[in-house]
Amino acid sequence: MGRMKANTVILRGAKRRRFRNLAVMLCFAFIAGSLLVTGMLMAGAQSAVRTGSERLGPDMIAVPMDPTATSNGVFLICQPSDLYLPSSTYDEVLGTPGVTQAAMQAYVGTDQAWPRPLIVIAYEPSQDFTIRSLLASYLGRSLLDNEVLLGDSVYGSIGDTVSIFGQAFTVAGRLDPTSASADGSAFITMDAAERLVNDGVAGLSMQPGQISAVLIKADRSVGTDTVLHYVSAQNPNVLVFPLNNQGQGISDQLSLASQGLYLTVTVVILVSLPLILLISAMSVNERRREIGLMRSMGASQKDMFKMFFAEGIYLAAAGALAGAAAATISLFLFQGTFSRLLQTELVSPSMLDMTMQFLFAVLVAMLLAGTAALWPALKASRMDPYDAIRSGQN
Amino acid sequence: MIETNEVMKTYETLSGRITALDQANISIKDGEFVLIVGRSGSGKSTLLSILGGLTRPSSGKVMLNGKDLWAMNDEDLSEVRGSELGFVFQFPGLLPTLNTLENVMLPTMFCSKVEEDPSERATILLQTVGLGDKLDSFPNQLSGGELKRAAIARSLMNNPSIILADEPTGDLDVNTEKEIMDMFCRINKLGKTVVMVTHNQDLACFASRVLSMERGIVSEEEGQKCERI
Ligand SMILES: Nc1ncnc2c1ncn2[C@@H]1O[C@H](COP(=O)(O)OP(=O)(O)OP(=O)(O)O)[C@@H](O)[C@H]1O
Ligand SMILES: [Mg+2]
Repeated sequence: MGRMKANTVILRGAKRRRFRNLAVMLCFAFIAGSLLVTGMLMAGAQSAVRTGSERLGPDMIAVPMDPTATSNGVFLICQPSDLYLPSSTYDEVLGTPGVTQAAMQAYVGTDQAWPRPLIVIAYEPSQDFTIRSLLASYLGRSLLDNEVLLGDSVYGSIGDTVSIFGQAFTVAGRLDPTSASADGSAFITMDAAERLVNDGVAGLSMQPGQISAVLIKADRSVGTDTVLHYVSAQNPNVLVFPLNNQGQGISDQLSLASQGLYLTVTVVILVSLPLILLISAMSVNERRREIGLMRSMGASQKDMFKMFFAEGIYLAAAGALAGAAAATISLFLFQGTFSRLLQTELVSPSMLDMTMQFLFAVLVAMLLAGTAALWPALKASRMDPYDAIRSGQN
Repeated sequence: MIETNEVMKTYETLSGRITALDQANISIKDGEFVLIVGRSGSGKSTLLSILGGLTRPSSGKVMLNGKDLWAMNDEDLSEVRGSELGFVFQFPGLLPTLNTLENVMLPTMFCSKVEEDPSERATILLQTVGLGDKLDSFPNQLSGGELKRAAIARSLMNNPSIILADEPTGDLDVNTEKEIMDMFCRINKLGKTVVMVTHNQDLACFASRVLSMERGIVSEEEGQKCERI
C-alpha cells in the first residue's frame, strides 16, 4: 500500500452520506435521463416524419389551367391527362419564392399493347423526390434512359426487358403499392420520352417540350398556403392544388410535443440545480472540521478544491450514467406508449444516433455538475483552516 | 525554532474589536516542551494556530525554522504544515469512513517527506501508541483515549520536527490524561519540539517551560516544580 489516495477518501466519504448523495445522483439521473428521452424521441419522431413526408411527396401540384378541372380530376400525380404545359413552366415554378423543390412529370401515353393498358409517365430523375421514395428497394443511382420503373400492379421483375410503345426497356426497379394510379404505371426518364416522341411512335399524347404537371415542395417556414398563392400569382397559366399532406400536421404536433419535453427538461434542471447547490453547501458546511483537519495535515487550497470538485463530478457522473442507462432501457420498453403519446410512429434510432444522444445527455449533465461543484469546491478551499476547525462539529 | 515578532490578532465583532493576541514576542527553541496555559478566552488557541500557520495574524511575523510563515504562498505554507508540523486537537478528528491505519496514513495524501512505506510506518506508529491491535478498527469502535492516541500517531506520520497540541487531554479522565502526557514526553525526548495548550495548570510539571496567557498577552511563568514525575 502506498500513500493515501484522495479518491479513496472521497469514495469512502460518499458511502457515509448515502441519502444526500443519492439525492444528488438522482437529480443528475433525472437531468441526463430526461435529456436523453427528449433527444431520442425527437430524433426518432423527426426521422419518422422525414421519411413519412418524403413518401407523402409534394405539398402541391401545378397543372394546366382547365375550366372543367375539378380537384379530383386533376389529382394528377402519375395520372393521365391530355392537358399539357410548356416545360419552361418548370423553371418559373422553381423560381417562385418559397418553393424549395420542384419536379416535372409528363403523361407520355397509354400503351394499349399491354394486357392491362399501361400508363407511361416520364419524370426527370435529377429533380425527382417522389418516385425515388416510392421505390421498393433503393436504386442508388439515377434511372437510365433505357430503363423503366414499374408500379406495384404492373407485371415484370427487375432485370426483365419489357416493351413500351414497341421499344425495349430494362426493369430497374419496382415501386411500393400506393393505392393510387401509380400502381398501374410505368416510369421512364424525360429523355426517353423525348426519344419516343422524336421517333414518331404511334399512340403518344405528349408533344416535344411538354409536361403535364410540376410537383412542388414548399418551404415549411413560409407555409404551404402562402407558397401556393405565390405560385398561382406568378404563373397565371397554371392551377395549383394543395395535396393532402399530413407531414405538416405531424411536424406541428411534434414541435408542440418537443416544446413540452424540453420544457420538462428545463424544469427538471431548474428544480434540481438549487437542490444540488443546497445539498453541496450543506455538505461543505458539515465538513468544516474535516476541511480544517486536512488543511492542518498539509492540504493546500488547491487540494481542497480538487477533492470537493472531484466528489461533485463523481456523484454527477454516477447519477447521469445511471439515469441515461435507465432512460435508454425505458425507451425500448415503452416505445409503443411514447409513440402513442406523440401520435407518431417512432423510428428506432441508429446505434450511432443513440450513442451520440447518450453522450450528449451525459455531457450536458457533467457540464451542469461542473458548474454546480464549482461553488462548494471554492467554498471549501477558501476557508480559513482555523475558522474551519473552530466552527466545525464532527 | 519558532520565533514571533510583535504578533497581533484582532477580531472585528458586532460588539467591537477583540484583541485575541497582543504583541506576542516569543521564542521556542528546538527540542523544548512548552506549555501554554491561561484562562478560557485568553487567546491560547489563537496563538497556537498562528504558530501553526492555520490562521493569519493581523500583524507581525512568525519565523518557523528560518522561514517567514506568513510571507509564503498557500502551496508552500501547506507544505510546511504537512511536513514540519504535526497537529493534535482537543477533538480527535479521525475520519469516520477510514479505519485507524488509513486515518494515520492520511497526512501522506498531501505531502510526504518520509521515505518508508506509509502503511509500514503507520503500523509502527500505531504499535508505539499501543494500538497495534486496532489497525482495522473504525473510529466509532475506539474509546476516547484510543482515538486521542491514534490522533497523536497521525500527527507523527510525516515525521514533523514540531508538534502543536491544543488541549489534547481536554476531555479525558485523569489516568488517560497522564498516559497521553507521558506519550508527549516521549515524543519530546525523541527530539521533537512540543508546544501544548492547556488550561490545566497541573500539567506544568511535564513541560520544560510554561507560557502563561492573559487577555491576549503572553508572559513567561517561572519556578514550576514537577511533583508528578
Ligand atoms: N473567529 C473569531 N471571531 C471573533 N472572536 C474570536 C474568534 N476566534 C477567537 N475569538 C476570540 O478571541 C479570544 C481568544 O480566543 P481563543 O480561542 O484563542 O481562546 P482560548 O484561550 O483558546 O480559550 P479556550 O481555553 O476556551 O479554548 C476569545 O475572546 C474569542 O472569543
Ligand atoms: Mg482554545
